Amino acid sequence: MTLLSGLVAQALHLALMLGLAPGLAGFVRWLKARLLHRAGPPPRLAYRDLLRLMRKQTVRPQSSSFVFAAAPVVATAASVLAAALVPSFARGMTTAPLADLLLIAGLFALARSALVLGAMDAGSAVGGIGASRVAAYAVFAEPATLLVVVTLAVLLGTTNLDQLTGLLQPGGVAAHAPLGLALAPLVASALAQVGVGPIAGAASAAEPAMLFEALTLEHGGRDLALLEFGAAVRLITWFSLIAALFLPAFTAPAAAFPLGWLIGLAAWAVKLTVLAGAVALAEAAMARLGVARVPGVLGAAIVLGLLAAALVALGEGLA
Amino acid sequence: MGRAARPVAIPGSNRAQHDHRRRQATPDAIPFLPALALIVPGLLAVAAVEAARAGFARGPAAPGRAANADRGRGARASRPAANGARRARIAIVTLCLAGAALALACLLAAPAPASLRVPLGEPGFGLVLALDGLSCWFILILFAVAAAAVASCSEASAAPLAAFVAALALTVLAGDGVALVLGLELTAVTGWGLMQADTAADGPEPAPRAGASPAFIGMAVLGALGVLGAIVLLAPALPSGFPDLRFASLRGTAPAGWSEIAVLALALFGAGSLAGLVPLHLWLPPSLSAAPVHAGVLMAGAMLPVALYTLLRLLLDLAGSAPPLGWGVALAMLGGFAALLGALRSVIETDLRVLLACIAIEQTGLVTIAIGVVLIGRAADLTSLASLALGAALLLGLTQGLLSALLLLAAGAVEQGAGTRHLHRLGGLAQRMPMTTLCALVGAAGLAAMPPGPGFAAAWLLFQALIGAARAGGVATQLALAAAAALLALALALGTVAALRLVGVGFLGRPRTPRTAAAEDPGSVSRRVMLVLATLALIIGLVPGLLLRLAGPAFAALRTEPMGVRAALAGLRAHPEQPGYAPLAIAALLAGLAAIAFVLLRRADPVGQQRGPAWDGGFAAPPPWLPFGDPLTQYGAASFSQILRRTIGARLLAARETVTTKLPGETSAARFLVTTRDPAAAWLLAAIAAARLWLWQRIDRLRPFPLGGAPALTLAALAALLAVLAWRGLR
Repeated sequence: MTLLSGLVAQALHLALMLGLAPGLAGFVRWLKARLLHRAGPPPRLAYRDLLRLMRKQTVRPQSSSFVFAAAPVVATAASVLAAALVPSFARGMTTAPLADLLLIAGLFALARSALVLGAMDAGSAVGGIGASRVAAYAVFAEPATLLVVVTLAVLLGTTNLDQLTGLLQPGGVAAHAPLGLALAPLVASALAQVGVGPIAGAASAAEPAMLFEALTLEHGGRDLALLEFGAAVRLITWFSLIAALFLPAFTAPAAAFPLGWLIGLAAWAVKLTVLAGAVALAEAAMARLGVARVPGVLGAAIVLGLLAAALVALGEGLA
Repeated sequence: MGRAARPVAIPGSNRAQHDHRRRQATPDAIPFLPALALIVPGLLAVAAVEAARAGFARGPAAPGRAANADRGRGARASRPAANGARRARIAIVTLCLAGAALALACLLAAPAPASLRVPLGEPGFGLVLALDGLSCWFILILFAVAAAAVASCSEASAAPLAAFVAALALTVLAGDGVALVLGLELTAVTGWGLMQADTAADGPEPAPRAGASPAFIGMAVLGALGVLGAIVLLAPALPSGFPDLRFASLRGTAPAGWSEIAVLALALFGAGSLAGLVPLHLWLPPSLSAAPVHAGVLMAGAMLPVALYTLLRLLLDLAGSAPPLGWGVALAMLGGFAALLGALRSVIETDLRVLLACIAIEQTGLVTIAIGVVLIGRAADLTSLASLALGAALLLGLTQGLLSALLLLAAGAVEQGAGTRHLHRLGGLAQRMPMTTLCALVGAAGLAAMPPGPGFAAAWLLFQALIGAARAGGVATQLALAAAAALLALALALGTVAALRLVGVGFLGRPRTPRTAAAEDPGSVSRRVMLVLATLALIIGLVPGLLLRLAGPAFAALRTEPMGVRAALAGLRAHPEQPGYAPLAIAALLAGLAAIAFVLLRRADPVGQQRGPAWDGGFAAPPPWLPFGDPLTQYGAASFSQILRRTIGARLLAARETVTTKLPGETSAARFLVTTRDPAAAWLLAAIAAARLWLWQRIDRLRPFPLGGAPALTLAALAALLAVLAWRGLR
């Protein structure tokens, strides 16, 4: 019974994650435009873009090699696997034993590395700029994520995301005050690794300012569709990850069918909307950080992560 | 006189004790050690025959111009000479493969530790060789890498390679201090010989050789002396007053107070200097850069794991019975800094081999973190934590060996095929050298800790060990280990960028020089060797649990609880009852998803694909005299690392950029120069220079010393000698 419910929950979870991903990315874009008093593209445009790209011919640069062709496949496969592992509305899905936080961080790194190599393989100038920026941001963003993981694991004794969500369940993060400090580094790290928000969001269509858009500049047709889909999947996965750790309330055990699932689904929708609203608000209110300032901001995130670890240590030492 | 007579008596008593031990050993342990030990003289014999043959082939022809002829002869060797060299290489590869198979069988059989006394020199003297799980594990790495290096080496004379491998094998098989130090010193000497040998096998660009080999042999000899000092300090005295240097008796001693600190510091210095542990790493990049290709492969892929073996043997086996908690924490922090420095340098360096050497320095730092956590586990009496960290160290040793060898072989292939080893002259190799690119990609992904590769499994274990260690100690320990975790995370992230830059700038994109555009994959043997190594790396990544099961005897040899159910076919776990990291399942899921994406992309495509000029931000197509586009519009080695160089590099490595622009009308080229200074060089080399100056000033003062003063000096020396003798007599 648990096996069956875990499997069904997994299937529903993956379908929702993949199905909602482009919509969520479109929603963030639309919300930001509304906040800036613009009409904005409707969220469903994201789906239609994907469909249109699927019908277009794939053109690859003459100087590119097998790496360029493999990059969208690897990046999207790693992103979708991460999406399958991060719980959304239910705990105890079939892949729950695999959902190690260090592994999820590694999958994000794999997706990013594939993107970077694909961009460098095209041999164009803008791809190189984007690749070097994305790689350099990751150097500061990854330690922030990993420090949060270490802090959580020291406090709760596991790095498994599913178990962590379960352990954080009753009182949420409020039961562990030092963890509140870990939210900021995780959010900063997430914003630096997806293409939205004030750290690495899309600033303009001008190539010198590009970050993640520069990585996909030379891809076209189905390659580009796959890449855009992967980016959207990473966005919803990061949102769900933050929700699973810092807003874990109302996630249902997989066996709690159907009432628990319905509550979990509703709660997940609310959490995604809140996070999307926060990101859109931040993006509308702030200009994107200059490239030279990002390392400083993310360095502060690392320091905050260390501080969270220190608070956990002090809390354990005093207890 | 009585004292002088004693040395003859000691080895006899040694032998009596040893015979007693041998009777206790289980019978199934006996065949492995002698068989492995026989490979060492076998390699030396092949080396001697090969050296004699090479000398004979060269000698009568032009005895006076031997040195000059040396360079060309490797390439234009006559047919019998080439056949002879080929036979010698086949013999060496066979011996190495036999050794690797023996080591594998020994790990599978897991016999009790054995030791063997080799009579050598005067009657009664001898070396003690020993074999346990730890030496088995590392001799497996050593022989596997050596077989790969010698098999793919086509031009160079194999004699120095064989001698080097023999010295390394002696180091790993050593069962007493004499054999260990002898092995290390022989490693230094033969390694120095390797660096001198065979410039014909080198790439077309002459390597910067100045100062590299003296630095190598100096560090290696000093390191061996440090190891000797640590062992002598540890050794219990025999009844004769001489120290008993056998490992078995070293294990029983427990030094305390200052002698304990001295032993640990000397051991760390001795083994760390050969392993390239920061701040003793300065010799490694120039040495790896100056050595011929296959010597570099052996130095990085075989010598560094052997140095790690020495580190593990000294710190965890001989001197590591019960060090205080702080020592482990300090080691973890030192390892974190070492990994960070190595990774940061590898992001900035542009010479392929220097870059790989810096990645090796990072890996040594990671192993040092693991050793620190093992010591913390022992001090806090958490045996499961110690075994977790030891598992990380053993996996890192394996990946260090195989992946360094793979990447250096790929770098060698690039040097031969593309004619340069500088990143800013490479590029576009993926189309001309697809096999080398694929192998370099696998190797770089492995070292960059990409799931589900081999490096990720080791990094995962290391993080779990650090988390467990933080839970073990008090507030201060926990804070220090959180900092170590931050350093580790930063080093891993930098290592990923270094790997991306290595592959992205070196192999992908457009060619940056016409020579690179005509690059070619190496010959079939080299290609196959690289493919085998890459396959092995993938297998390690998929079944790290099985390998750690295989390494069970190594855990036993270091008196650590084996991983048990935490290392299985399915994957690795930090706690027996918790889920962990399951690489097989992850790899299967990734492959399945990638297959779906590929089908979506390729099979159901109604329009088809085509190639066209790159969009490149809408710039016009390059003129016809630039068939690969303008090389300057492509991001290069220096520009890719600019952000990291200006932020972390400027603080840690004092990275500076000098731009020399030219006025309009000047025809000379503008220059962009990046300089870095290793922080270890700043104080270590400065200290050495100051010491040398001081010494020379003292010696200089003796120059005007009057001849008439000589008798007084002699008298003083005599008096000092008598005083020493009197003091010893009183004791």
